[in-house]
Amino acid sequence: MGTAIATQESLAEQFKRSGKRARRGTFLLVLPLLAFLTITFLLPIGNMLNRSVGDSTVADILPRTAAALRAWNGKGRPPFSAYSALADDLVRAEREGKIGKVATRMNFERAGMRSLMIKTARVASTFEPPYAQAFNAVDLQWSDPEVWGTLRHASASTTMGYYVAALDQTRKADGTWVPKPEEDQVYIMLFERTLWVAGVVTLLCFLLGYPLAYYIARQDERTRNLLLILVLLPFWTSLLVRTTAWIALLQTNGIVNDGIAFLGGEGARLELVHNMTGTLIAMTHILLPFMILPTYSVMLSVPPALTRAAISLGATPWTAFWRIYFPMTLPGAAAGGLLVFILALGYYITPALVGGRTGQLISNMIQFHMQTSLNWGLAAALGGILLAGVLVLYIIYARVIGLNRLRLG
Amino acid sequence: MAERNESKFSWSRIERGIAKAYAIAVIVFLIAPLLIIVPLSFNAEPYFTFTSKMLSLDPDGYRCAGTATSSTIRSGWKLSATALLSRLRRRFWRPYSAHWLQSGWRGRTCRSAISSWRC
Repeated sequence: MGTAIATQESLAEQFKRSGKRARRGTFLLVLPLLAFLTITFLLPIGNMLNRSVGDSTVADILPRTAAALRAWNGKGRPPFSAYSALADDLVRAEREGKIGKVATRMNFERAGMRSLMIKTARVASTFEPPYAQAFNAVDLQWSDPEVWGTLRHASASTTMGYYVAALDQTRKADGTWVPKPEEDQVYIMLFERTLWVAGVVTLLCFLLGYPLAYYIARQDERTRNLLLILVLLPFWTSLLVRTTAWIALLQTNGIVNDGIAFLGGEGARLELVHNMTGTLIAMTHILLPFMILPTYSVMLSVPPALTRAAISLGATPWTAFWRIYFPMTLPGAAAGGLLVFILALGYYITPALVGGRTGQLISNMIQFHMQTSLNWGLAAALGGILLAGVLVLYIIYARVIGLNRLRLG
Repeated sequence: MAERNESKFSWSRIERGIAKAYAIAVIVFLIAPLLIIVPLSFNAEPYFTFTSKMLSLDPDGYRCAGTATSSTIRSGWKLSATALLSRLRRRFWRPYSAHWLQSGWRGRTCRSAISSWRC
């Protein structure tokens, strides 16, 4: 009896040990993938998010000013110590050649701060008490508490300033957020436009892709393979070439407009490129295979006998399609839709080439801040908001449709 | 009964035609940029349109890839072709060349009406 129990225990232990070994083996197998994802995906995203809230440029270059302004609550005039601290910091920054860096950083917070700071730093070494008058003598903007408030917000090592700017808001000296004047509001409109374009492109891809996937799925194997090659054909050339080809097709003297002019006269030519229409057409073309492939893949797995059974039980072909076939293929279309929508949200090169002024999306603005204005903090904040938006949509999708219903074949 | 259901399920000819036309239209939409970009890449003019010379299939309307690049491409092709032939000769011909030259049927092949090579 005792031996039997002992054997049983040792068997259980052996089973546990082998389970542990198998789990360790599995973990080691996925370890390179995890390391790859961490290095190439999680760390850059973490870095981006960190950059969108953390900037110690002002605190590092103007440390005494930062310390003096920390005690100020943003109401009324700043303390006198802040004036003398700023004068000292500006002299040192000018001497060390760092004034350009801090002035540029301040300009991100408030337009005009760069010239104000550089102008003041040039003469700061001649300042004598009372410093407040000396600053005002250089430029009356120094008498505005909002300027000091901007300096106070920027001198914190963590700042929400980039998110404030990315949401078309501005911060008062006391920290309250107020919307920018309407003519200066850009980003919210671009976010709305990006969402709208992504939605329309997804819808167009569904309207074009679903019937084509259905048609392909109903063909014999040889025709099916041929049609699939044609669907995959666009992937054989670069995205840039395909987008450029759309310019040739849609431009005023392009092939499509030549056809329209042939049918309706020269006056019938349409503006099809360098505007929103061009962006929608080119993006739909590029993202269409991402809708067709998962939908087709799911359609292949639906047994044709089910529709036939529904018809044999009295349903019309349309009812059989709508009540039986369509719900079964919806997870594939939903997966394709999610893929297309998320890809469309971050699309950059196509709107940049064929979008013109009215077809630009938020990604183009991120590129502008990354490469032209060099305001990486704002670019990171815009990227962070886009990421948060995608996550929210993903959660809504998971709640409403359910991720377990998502199928790629 | 099964046959009747099958025929009921299958589309009518018009529906099939519409479906086919729609599928063709979508596929044309998918491959149109590729169809356009290939002939345009031979355009002799520095414009991204079909010129009248191109449309009238005038050879002057087409070029390979610019005069300077064209000669480079041609010489590149020539070099690649020579390298490929030499490699093929080394790989497939050299092991058999001695056998070919010493064989008795070499003369016969040389004299044959089919081969006009000077061996």
